[in-house]
Amino acid sequence: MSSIHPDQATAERLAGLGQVRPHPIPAGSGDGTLIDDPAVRPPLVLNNRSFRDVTDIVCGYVENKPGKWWMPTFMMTATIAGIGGLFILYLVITGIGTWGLNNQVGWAWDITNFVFWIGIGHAGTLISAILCLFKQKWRTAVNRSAEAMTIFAVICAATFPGIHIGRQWMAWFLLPLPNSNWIWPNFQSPLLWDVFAISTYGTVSAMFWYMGMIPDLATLRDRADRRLRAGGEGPVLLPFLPIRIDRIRGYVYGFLAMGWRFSNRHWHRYEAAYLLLAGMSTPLVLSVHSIVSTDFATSILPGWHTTIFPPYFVAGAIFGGFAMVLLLLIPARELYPNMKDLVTKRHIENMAKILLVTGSMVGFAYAMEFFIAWYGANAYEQFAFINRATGPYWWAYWTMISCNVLSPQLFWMKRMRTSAGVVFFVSVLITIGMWFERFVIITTSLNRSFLPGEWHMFFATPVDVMIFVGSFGIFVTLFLLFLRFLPAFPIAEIKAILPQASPHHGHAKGGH
Amino acid sequence: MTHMSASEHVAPECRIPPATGHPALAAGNVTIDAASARSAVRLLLGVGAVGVGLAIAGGFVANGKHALAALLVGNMAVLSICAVAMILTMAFHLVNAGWWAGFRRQIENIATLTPVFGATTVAIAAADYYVLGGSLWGWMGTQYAATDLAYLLEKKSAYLNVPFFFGRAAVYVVVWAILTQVLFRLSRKADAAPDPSLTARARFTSAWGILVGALTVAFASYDWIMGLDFRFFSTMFPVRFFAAGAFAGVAVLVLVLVLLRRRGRLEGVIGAEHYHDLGKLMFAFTVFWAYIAYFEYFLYWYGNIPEETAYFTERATGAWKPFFYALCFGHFAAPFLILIFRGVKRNPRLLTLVALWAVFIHVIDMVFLIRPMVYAGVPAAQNPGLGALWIDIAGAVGMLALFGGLLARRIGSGPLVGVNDPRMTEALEHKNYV
Amino acid sequence: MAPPSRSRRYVNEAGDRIHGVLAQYATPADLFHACEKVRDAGYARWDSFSPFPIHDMEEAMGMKRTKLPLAIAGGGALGAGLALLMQFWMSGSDYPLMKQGKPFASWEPFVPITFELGILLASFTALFGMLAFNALPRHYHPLMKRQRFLASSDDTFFICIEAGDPRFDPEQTRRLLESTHPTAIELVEE
Repeated sequence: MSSIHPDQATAERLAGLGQVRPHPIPAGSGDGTLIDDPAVRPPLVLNNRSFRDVTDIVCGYVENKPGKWWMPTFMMTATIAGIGGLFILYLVITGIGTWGLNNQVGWAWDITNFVFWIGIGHAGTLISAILCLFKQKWRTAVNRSAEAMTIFAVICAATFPGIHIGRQWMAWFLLPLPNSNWIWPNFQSPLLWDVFAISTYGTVSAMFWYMGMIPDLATLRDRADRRLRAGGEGPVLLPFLPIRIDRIRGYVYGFLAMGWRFSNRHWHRYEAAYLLLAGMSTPLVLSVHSIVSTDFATSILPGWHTTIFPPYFVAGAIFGGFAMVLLLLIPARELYPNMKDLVTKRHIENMAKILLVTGSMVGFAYAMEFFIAWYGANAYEQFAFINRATGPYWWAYWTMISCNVLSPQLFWMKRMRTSAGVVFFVSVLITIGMWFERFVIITTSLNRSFLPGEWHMFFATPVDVMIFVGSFGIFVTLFLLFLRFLPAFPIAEIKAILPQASPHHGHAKGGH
Repeated sequence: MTHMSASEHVAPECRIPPATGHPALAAGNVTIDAASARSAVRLLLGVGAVGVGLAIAGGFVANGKHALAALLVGNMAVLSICAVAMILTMAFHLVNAGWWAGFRRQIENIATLTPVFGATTVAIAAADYYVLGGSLWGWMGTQYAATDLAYLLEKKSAYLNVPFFFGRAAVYVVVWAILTQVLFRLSRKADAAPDPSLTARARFTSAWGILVGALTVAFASYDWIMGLDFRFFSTMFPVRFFAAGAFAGVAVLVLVLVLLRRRGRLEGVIGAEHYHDLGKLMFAFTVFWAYIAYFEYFLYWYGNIPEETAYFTERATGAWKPFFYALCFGHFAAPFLILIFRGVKRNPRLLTLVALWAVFIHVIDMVFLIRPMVYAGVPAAQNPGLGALWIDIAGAVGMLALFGGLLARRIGSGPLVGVNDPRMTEALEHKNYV
Repeated sequence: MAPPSRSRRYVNEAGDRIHGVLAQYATPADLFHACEKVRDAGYARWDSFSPFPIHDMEEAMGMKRTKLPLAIAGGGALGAGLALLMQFWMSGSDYPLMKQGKPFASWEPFVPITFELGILLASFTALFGMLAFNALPRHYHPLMKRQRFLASSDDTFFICIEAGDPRFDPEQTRRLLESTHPTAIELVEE
C-alpha cells in the first residue's frame, strides 16, 4: 500500500503496518466487541481511532491505489457485465422468444430476477433508514455500502421489466402519457403502480445516499485542495496528460459537495432533513416491496393470491438484503486495510442475528401460507401448495426451505454467528434461497394452472442464464467502482459516534 | 451469557456508568404503596364487575350470543394490548435497548396480564359452547349441520373441533404464563441487588420466547377472532391483530406513565424525551396498522372472490360501513395528522388525549372485527340494533375496567422502576438530538 | 433571520474588506463552551464549524429550530394531492375505461400511487429544501480561502464571528474569542 500521508509513522499505522493504539480486549470477546455484559456498550470503532484516523482510513480507500486484486476483479466483472449486455442486445433484436417462456409460463426468470434484485435493493435503504430511526449507532459501519448496494440493485432490477415488455422501444407506454388513441394507462393495474413505486424508490434512495455523502465528498475535496496548496509533485492523470489527479478530484468532489463547509447551522438543518428522509424512506420501502408483491397477490392465481404477501415480501427483502451486505462487506474487510476497525465482529454478529429473525419471519410466512391454503378449503389453492412441495419443482421448493429457513437457524449458536466464514457461507445460501423463493412463487403457480391441459414446464435457455449472470456482473462492477471512487463509510457519522465526539467528553473526571 | 467475568477488562468509556444514588431513583419517587393504589383498584374492579355482570345479565334478558360478543370485544381489545406488551418486552430485551429502562417495569406489568385475559377468553368460549351450545363460534354448534356449509365444516374439522380448540387455548395460556412470569421474576429479582447477568438471562429467554410468543399469539388470533366466521381466512390476520394492539398497547403504557407522573412519581425518570419516543412508536404503529389493514382489505377487494369478499362486503358496504370509514379516519388519518407534530409527542397532556383516543378506537376496531358475526344471516327484524347497545357498552367498559383494576393492583405490588437496570443511566440521560 | 450584512465598515491594512474573525479549537468540548460564550455575548451573525454534527449544539449556539419539516410536509401533501387529482381525472373523468369490472374511480387502487408521489415530492423538498435553507450550492466562500479552515473537514473546530454583526468590533471580538481557549485566531478577508 502506498500512502500519501506525509507522516511516515501515521502512514504505516493506517496501512495496518505500524503500531496501533490497541483498546483492551477482554478474554473471549473476539476483537473486543463480543461482550455480552448488558452494562457494557462495546466500542464501535476499534484501536482508539482519532478523528484524523477515521478521515485518513476512509479517504485512503479512495486516494490510495487499491490492492492488486482490484483491477483483475474489476476486469472480470466488467467482462461478465458486457457479455450480459450483449445477450440483452440479442434479446432486443430477436425477441423474448429466446427466453424459455411458453404459453403458460409467461413470466419466469425475468420477473424472478426483477423481484430478486429489487428485494436486495429494498434492503439497503431500509437497513440504513430503519437503523437511523432506531438510533442504532452501529449503522455507520454498513449504511453507506448498503445504500450504494441499493442503487446498483435497483439498476439491475429495473433492467428486467424494461426488457421483458418485448417491444422495448414502446417502454414510454409505462408513463402516464396518453397513447395514440388518447387512452391513459391503467391506474388500477399493479404493473403501473410498479412503475411509479420503483422510479420513486430509485430516486429517493439516490437522494438519501447522495445527501449522506455530501459532507464526506466535501472532505475529499478539502484534502485534494490541501495537497494542491501544499504544492510539490503528485500523481498525474496520464504521463502525456500531466493534469494532477488532485485537481480533477477538487473539481469533481467539489462540484458534488455543493460548497458544503461544515457549518453547525447547516448541520442542524441537515440532520433534521436526513432524519425526515430516513423516516419517509422506511414506509416507502415497505410500500414499494408491497406493491411489487401485489403484482402477484391481486391476481386470483392459486399460490399468489394471499394477504400475507406484502409484509412477507418486505421481510424477505430485508433478509436477502442483509445477506448481500454481508457478502460484500466480509470480503471487503479482509481486502482493505483497517476496515476491521470499522466493521467489527459485533457488526457481523448483529447482522447475523437479523438474518435469524428475518429468516424465521419468512419461515413463518411459508408455514402460514400452507396452513391457510389448507384451512381455506379451496381445492386449487391446496393443490398449488402440495404441488410446490412435491410437484416437478420440488427441488426448488426444498432448496428454498433449506437455504432460507433452516440455514439461518445455525445462528442460534454464538460461535456460528461470530465466525465471519460461517456467516459468509450462510449468506451465500440465503442469496441462493431468496432467488429460489421468487422462482418457486412465480413458476410453480404458473406451470400448473387451473386446467391440466394448460400445464407446461419451464426450461431456462442460455439467454435466460446469461442475462442473469450479466446482472451480477453489472452489480459487482458498480460496487467496485463505488469502493474505488466514493467514500465507502460515512466519515462524519463515524466521527460523531466516537467517544471523544461528545461535547461533555472528559468532564466526568475533572468536573465541569 | 458467557464472558461475564471478562468484562472487567473493558475500556472505561465502554462501561455504562451505574445510576445508583441518582436523585430520580430515590425510594419515594419510584415506589407507590399498595394502600394508595387500593382505592383505584377497588373502584376499577367494581366497575369491571358491574359491567361484566350487566353484560351477562343482558345475555339472559336479551341475547346470549350478543352478550358473549360484547364481552369478547372488550376481552380481545385488552388481550391484544397485553400480548403486544409481552412481545415488545422481549423485543426491547433482544435489541439491548437502553432508553426503556425507566418504563421497563410498567410494560412488564401490562405483559403479566396476558395469561389472565387469555384465560377469560377461554371462559367466554367455554360459556359459548357449554351454555349456548356453540353460537358465537358457530362451527362448535349444530346450526350448520343441515346447510351446504356442512361440507366446509367437515373439511376444516381437523382444526376446528372442540377438544383441539380448547387444547390449543390451554397451550397459549400456559406459554404466556411461563414467558411473562420468567421475565417478570428476573426483573423483580434484580430489584434486590444489581446483577447484569439477570438482564442477560432475560435476553436469552426473549430469544426463544419471541418465537413461541409470536406463534401462539398468531394462532390465538386465528382461533378467537378469525375463527368466529369459519368461512373466512386470511394469512395476514395475525399481523393485523398485532398491528391493532400495538397502537393501543403503547397508548396504555403512555397512560400508565402519565398517571404515575400525576401522582408525583417517576419525576426525572420519565420526561418529554421518553414521551417523544413513545409518541413516535404510536405514530409508527398507526401507520403500520393502516398499511396492514389496507392491504388485507385491498387484496380481497381486488381479487373479488366471493368466499373472501363476503367478509368485507358485510363490513364495508352494509350496516357496518360507518365503522369502516370511522376506522380509516380515526385509527389512521386523524392520529397520523396529530402525532406528526413534534409538540404533541412531547406534551404529556396532548399525548394523553391521543392515547385515550387510541384505546377507544382500538375497541371500535375489535367491534368491527367481532360484532358483525352476531346478527350475520339473521333477519333484520330480529336485530335489536341500537336498542341493545347497552350490552356492548357494558361488556367493553367492564373488561377494560377489569384490566385497569388488575393493572393498578399489579403496579402497586412492587417498585415502579427496575432501579438496578444496568442501562438505567442511558434511560435517565435519554435525549432526542434532532 | 440574522440582520443584514454591514461588513463594509471594516477593512484591513491592504484595504480588503473584513469577513470576520476566525478562531480555531482542538476539541468538540472547547468549541462547545466557546459557542456558549459567544452566544451569551449576544452575537447574531456568527457560525461554528465542526467535521461532524455535535449534540446539543443548537442550544450552545442559541439556534431556533428549523422550519424545514413544515416545508417537507407541504411537499408531501402537494405530491399526494396531485397524484389523486391525476388518477381521478385520467381514470374517472377524461377517458373512463372499463377494466376488470371495477368502478372507474374508486379510491382503493389509487392509494399506492398517491402514497408514492407524496413521498417523492416530500423527499425532493427534504434534499433541495435543506440545500436552499443553507444557501447552497455555493461556489465560493471567504473562509475556504484559508488553508487552516480546510482542516474543519478533518479534525479541527472553528468559530467565525462575522464583521457584519452589529456588535462586531475587531478588538473586542478578538478579545472575547481569545478568552475561549482557541489554538489560533486570525482575521479573514472577504
